[in-house]
This record gives sequence, C-alpha cells and structure tokens, in this order.
Amino acid sequence: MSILWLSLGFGLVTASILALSSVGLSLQFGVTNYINFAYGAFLSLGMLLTWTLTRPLHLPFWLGAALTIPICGLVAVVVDRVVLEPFVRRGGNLLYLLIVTFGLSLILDNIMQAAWGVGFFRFAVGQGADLHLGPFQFTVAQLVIIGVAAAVMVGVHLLLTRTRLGKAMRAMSDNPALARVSGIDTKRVTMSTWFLSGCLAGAAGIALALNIVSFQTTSGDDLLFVVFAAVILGGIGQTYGAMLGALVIGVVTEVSAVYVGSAYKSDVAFLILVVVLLVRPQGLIPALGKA
Amino acid sequence: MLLEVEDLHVSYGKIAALKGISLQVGAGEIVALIGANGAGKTTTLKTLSGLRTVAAGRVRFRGEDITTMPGHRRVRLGLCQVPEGRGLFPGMTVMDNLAMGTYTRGRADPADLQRVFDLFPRVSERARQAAGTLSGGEQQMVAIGRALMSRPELLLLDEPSMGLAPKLVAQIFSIIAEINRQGTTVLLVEQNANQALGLAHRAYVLETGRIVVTDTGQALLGDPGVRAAYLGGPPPG
Ligand SMILES: Nc1ncnc2c1ncn2[C@@H]1O[C@H](COP(=O)(O)OP(=O)(O)OP(=O)(O)O)[C@@H](O)[C@H]1O
Ligand SMILES: [Mg+2]
Repeated sequence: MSILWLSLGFGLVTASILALSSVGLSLQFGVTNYINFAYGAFLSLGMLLTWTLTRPLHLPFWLGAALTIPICGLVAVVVDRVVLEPFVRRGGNLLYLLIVTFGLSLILDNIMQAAWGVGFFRFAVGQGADLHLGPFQFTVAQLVIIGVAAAVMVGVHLLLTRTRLGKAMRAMSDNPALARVSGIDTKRVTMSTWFLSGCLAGAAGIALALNIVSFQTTSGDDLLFVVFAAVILGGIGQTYGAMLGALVIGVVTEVSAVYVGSAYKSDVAFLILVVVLLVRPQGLIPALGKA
Repeated sequence: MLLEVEDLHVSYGKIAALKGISLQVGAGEIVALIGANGAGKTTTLKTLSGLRTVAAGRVRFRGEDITTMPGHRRVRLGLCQVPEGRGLFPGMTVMDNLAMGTYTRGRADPADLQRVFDLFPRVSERARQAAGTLSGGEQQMVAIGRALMSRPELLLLDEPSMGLAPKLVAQIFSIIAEINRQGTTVLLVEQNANQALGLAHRAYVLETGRIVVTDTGQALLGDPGVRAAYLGGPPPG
C-alpha cells in the first residue's frame, strides 16, 4: 500500500514537470501552428545554464534558476526570429517547418555538447529532507517542483483569460488572419509566445534536473516524446488539455512503474496515448478552431 | 473620398491577381464589388485590410497613405474587414468574439454591444456559447457584430451571404442597409450580384484582376452585358 502512495507522489512530481513543459510546447503550437521538435534542447539548456551559474559561477541556486528562465526565453525568441520565422514568412509549408525544427534540435544539441562537453552533471543543491504529508512522502525539492508547477498553471490560466496578451494568443491560435485584421500585432504576440515557451522549457528543465539528480547534456530530449504524448493526449494546441494530459501521463507512468518496471515508463505513456486516441481521436479536449 | 485605390497591383508569387485596379468609396456609400470566381475580389479586400502586400499602386484612407501600413494598425483608423467564410474565432464564446472587435480600444462600450444585440437579437441569446457551435447564419451575424464593435468608418464585407438560405440572405442584406443608414460606409464583395446591386449606391465589376465596368447599382442591374455575365440573363420584362 505504501509503495502505491509513494509512486502516486512520484507521479505528481513527474506530472508537474510534464505540465510545465507541455504547456510551453502547447502555447507555442497554438499560436504558430507547427510542432517544435527542438523543444527538448530548451529543456537541456535550462539544466545546463543553471548548472553553470550555480556550480562554476557559485551563484545561489534560486538566483541561478531565476536567471536561467528568462535567458531560455530570450534564446527561444532569437531562434524563432533568426531560424524559424524566415521559413514561416516564405509561406511556410508546415512539413518543412517540422523538418527545420528537427534539424534545429540536432544543431542546438551539438552546440551544447561543444560548449558543455559530454558527461554527467548535478546541481549543488540536493533533494532536501524527506517530508511526510498524510500518506505521501516528498523531498523538499519535489514539493517545490509541485508548488512551482501549480503556481505556473494558475498563472497561465490568468494570462490566457485576463490579459490582452492572453486574449491575443487565443485569438491567433483560433484564426490567425482574423486576429490580424482585428488589430492584433501578430509579430509581437508570436515573439511573446516564444519567450513564454522558452521560459517554461527552461523551468521544466531545471525541475527535471532536480528530480533526476544527475543529468547529461541532452537529457531534455529524453523527456521530449513523453511531453508530446501529454500534449497530443490533451488535444493538440489546447493548453488546458496539455495540463490534463501531463497529469494523466505523469501519474499513470509512475504508478505503472511499480508493477511493470520503471524501464517501461515511456512505453506506458504511449500505450495510454494510443488507447485514448482510439476512443477520442481529437484528444481529451478537442479544439473547435483548428482545422 | 473615404477610400481611394489607385492602380493597385497585387501578386501571389508569379501569378498577378490584381492588375492595376482603381476605385473610390465615398463616406456614407454602399459600394459593391462583383465578379466571377477568381476575379480578385477577396484579394482586393485582403490588400485593403493589410493582409497582402502591394506590388504597385496606392491606397489612401481618410486622406492618409496606408499602402504599406501594417494590417493591425488599420483597425484603429476605422477600417474593418469581415473575411470570407466564417470570420470569427470558433473556439471563443460569442461574447469574447464581440470583445475582440474592441481589441485596439480596450474595453467594450455597453452601447456598442447593445447596438449589435439590437441588430442581431439571436446573437444575444447565444452570448455564452462557443462561436464555432453556432449555425452558419448565426456565425455570420457574430462575424459582422465583431466588426461593428470596432466602430468602423469603412466596413469591408467579403461575401456575407455565402452559404446562407435565401431568407437569411435577405435578412443579412437588410441589416447591411441598416448599418449603412446608421452611418457606416460599406464596401461589399458579393457573388449574389442581383441583391448586391439592388442594395449598392455604386458598383464595380471585376474581371481577372481588372475593373471592367463601373456605374450605379441600378444602372448595372439594367446593363445587358452585366446581366448576361453575372445576373443570369436579360432583364425581366
Ligand atoms: N494564396 C494564394 N496563392 C496563389 N494564388 C492565389 C491565392 N489566393 C488567391 N489566388 C489567386 O488569385 C486570384 C484571385 O483570387 P481571389 O480569391 O481574390 O478571387 P475572388 O474574386 O475572391 O474569388 P471567389 O469569388 O471564388 O471568392 C485567383 O486566380 C486565385 O487563384
Ligand atoms: Mg473571394
């Protein structure tokens, strides 16, 4: 029984990391309408930057993390403007863009390997003490991850429903041409979206590194396909769907690990995806707007 | 003149869609733009609202040269387009769609909302529903309502009657007349040439990227050439 509670706790932590990353991927997909295969590289960048700022440069962990997140956002904006946007402007065939982001992921991974080398990294901070919350047991780091992810989800909800930027993002994802003739500066909204997406990826990377303790230069890519599973499960481009998909995939993979072994986590994630899509091809929360 | 278009050229890659069209719309008018499929009607409206870039020629609105002005800034000037098909945000509620009309001005004015609800009582009954779940006619009403919320000087309508039952077409056309009576200038693109010419003060006939005839709506309704090409036969009687 206690092992079940323990794995349920792990599930919540994994779900939190997945939620941060899937919402970032989903927001960007919604606004630009193509999938970013290079997203895993931004997770890796988050881990590596925080490592550099806090280990060799000796900044306190919270400061390193706080600096890393907006830097990841800015890198995402630059990558969009310099690499992706020119393809979009050329009347971007979505298939080309998919391949371009795929190539981009290889390039970014190689740049990071050149800069940081290949090897294992770990943050200076550990997991912290074990805390018991009812039947659950979490480390301090895990509780922080869950807390931050929950706060970010509320923040994203408020952004989408209460702010001008959020409304513009929803409008662009619903009908880009109409968004423009409605007076939305689509270039600015696209840039803001990439910034947010990069920030969320950076935060998710830091959370992932904290949780797995020891990571490699391209560890972000390992999570990418599970992130895709969560996003597609939720209904692609649907932000609330991504949150729900992350919760389902996170909890079910960790609980199943108790019974089928942790080596099969990704297999379980895709099994859930296949089964759900057979029943609901449009995902858990279908989009009304997307063709 | 509210809108002056001078020798406008627009291309899609190597394909020239507009080959030098000139037209004017005066304040308070309803001007119709008719023509066969592929004549360039939608391209004209998209260029006016800033969705297509201009290869040559000039567009002036309220005396200001807006030829190269980005689309999102034209709404503030009072230029508002209702695109072809369902020009709305299907995943948003009807209310949020209407609110998008005032995106550039901030909060929606209750009086503007009341005006839309008065014109389209059906829309107020559906206010909390996702716009994509409405019927075709209701969607077109929301699309026009959204544009009205921006208080346009010039309303660009791209085939508002497309896909609607005859009764609804008549209703939409009478609402366009009412909107015009309330002071909004209208540039109306239509396949439904009979009704459009009946409503319009003046009209232009577009043929493969060129304007071939222009006259008052009534004169064009009686023009044998126009009748044969666009209205399905000689004048009645
Ligand atoms: N995105 C595009 N790429 C290439 N050519 C295009 C594109 N959009 C329109 N065209 C071409 O430009 C010409 C004018 O098209 P447009 O859509 O303006 O016609 P239209 O008068 O609105 O026709 P319809 O009555 O069918 O709506 C057509 O020959 C069309 O094939
Ligand atoms: Mg058209």
